[in-house]
This record gives sequence, structure tokens and C-alpha cells, in this order.
Amino acid sequence: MIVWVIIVSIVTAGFSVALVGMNATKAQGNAAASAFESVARQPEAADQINRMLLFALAFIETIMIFTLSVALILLFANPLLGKIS
Amino acid sequence: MEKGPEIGPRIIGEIFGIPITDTFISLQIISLIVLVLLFWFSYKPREELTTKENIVETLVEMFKRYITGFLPEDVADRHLAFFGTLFLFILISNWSGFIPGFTSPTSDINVTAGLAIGTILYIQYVAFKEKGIEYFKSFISPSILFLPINILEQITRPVSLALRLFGNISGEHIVLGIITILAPLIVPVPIMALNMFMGFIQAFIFTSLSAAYLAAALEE
Repeated sequence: MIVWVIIVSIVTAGFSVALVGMNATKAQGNAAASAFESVARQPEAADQINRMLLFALAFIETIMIFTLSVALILLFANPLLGKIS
Repeated sequence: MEKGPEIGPRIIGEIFGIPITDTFISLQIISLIVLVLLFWFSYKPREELTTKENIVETLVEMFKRYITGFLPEDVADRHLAFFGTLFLFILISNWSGFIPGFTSPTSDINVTAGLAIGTILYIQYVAFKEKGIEYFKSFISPSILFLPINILEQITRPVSLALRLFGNISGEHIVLGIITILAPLIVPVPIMALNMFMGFIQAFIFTSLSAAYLAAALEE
């Protein structure tokens, strides 16, 4: 039983990080691409766009980091293991 | 491979029954370093400036111009010291992981949670001091129905601030540890360069997000 919990935890952690990495990088790429486009169209607004881009990337990154925390908890401090044994 | 990369703070001693971790010790050392650095940087305003003072003044001016993008000029002037100290402390904490024997204090979730909660409390205090009792009206701003949502927003801010900093720095350390197990010789160097850049960006994002939160609290 405990072996199965460990296996499922490892697989879930790997898959969650892989999935969120895939989608979040796609989102960050979209954000960066539109920011570059707008800077190319309006170079005088570059400062403000830069700041907004930093914010957007930080907020997208937050979701990634939340998933990473869940994966780290599953791998290094799994609370389910204590419940079973 | 005998043992995987360790994560989290390690307990290395005990004083009066309180466990002492390695992040605690490096946190104290870094606080001391920041304090000494700031005293070394500071000078009395006068006509002729030395090279060091010119460099410091340029950096402070750059930082102030950046903060002024979020906050009105007078508010940014008054709280520049807070944001500057926050930035410098987080930056040196992030970079201290590269010194052998040190552990980045920001890779410990207790440190980042303390920083985030302290920042949010400071922002609430400043907003209350500036606006008085009017500030609490912003919690029920469109109508009383929005009170739970507004309170929830205030609670999720420190959580996301703390988790972002902790997750980034700690994730970098884990990646570095795994790379070091796989190929210990030359390969980690570019990853370390990337981590140095990311540490700078994270310190920047923490500071600018708190500035933006302060701006939002003052605006409402």
C-alpha cells in the first residue's frame, strides 16, 4: 500500500510540474510577444510596458511556483505517508 | 548516488532548547552585512563627492526613479528607505547562497513569510496613518457584500509574496543540486549565472510588488 502511495506521489509531482511548465511558459511567451510587439509599435511607452510585463510575468510565475510547492510537499514532506504507516 | 539534494533548513544546534538552523545563522550574518554596508555607503551631503559616493548616489537615484513609477513623488520619497532596505536585504540573501557554507535565508519559507507579513502590515499601517478611518471604507467600497472578497485579497497577498520568493530561490537550489549530482565539474556554472540573474529579478519583483500594493492601498 505504502509503495503505491509513493509511486502515485512521484508520478503526480512529475506530471503536475510538467503540465504547469508547458502551459505557463506558453502564457509567458504570449505575454512577452505582445509586449515586444507593442514596444516596436510605440517605443516611447517602453518603460511602462516593461514594468507591466514584469508584473504579468510575476503573476503567471506564481501559479507555477504554487504547483512546484505542491510537488515539493508530495516528494519531500508527504503527509499521506504518516497517515498510512 | 547516496543521498538526494536536501531541501529546507537544517538544524545544526540548540540554544536553550530552541533549535538553531543554518538559515537562521546566515540570516543574522546577512543582516549584519546589510547594516555595515549601509553605514559604509552613507555620507554627509557636501560639494565634492568621492567616486564611491557618486556611484551610490547614482544607484539610489535609479532605484528612486523606478519606485516613483508606482508611487506618487512625495510618498516614494518618504518610503524610499523601507523599499531600499527590503531590496538590498533580499538581493544579498539571494546571492549569499553562492558563498560556500552559506544557505540563502530566502530558501527558508519562515524567512520569506516573515518578510511578506511584515511588508503587508507596514503597508496597512502606512495606509491607515495617511488616510485615517477612511481607509477602512475601502474594504466595503462598492458595497458591504464585497467585504469577504476584499479581506481575502489582503490575505492572499502575503501568501503569494512569500511563496513566490521561497519557491523561486528554493527551486533554483534544487535544480543546482540535481545538476551538481549529474555533472559536478563545469556544467553548473551557467546555471549559477542564471540563478544570479533570477535572484536579482526576484528581489526586484518583491520590492516592486510591495510598492504597487502600497500604491493600491493609498489610492482606493
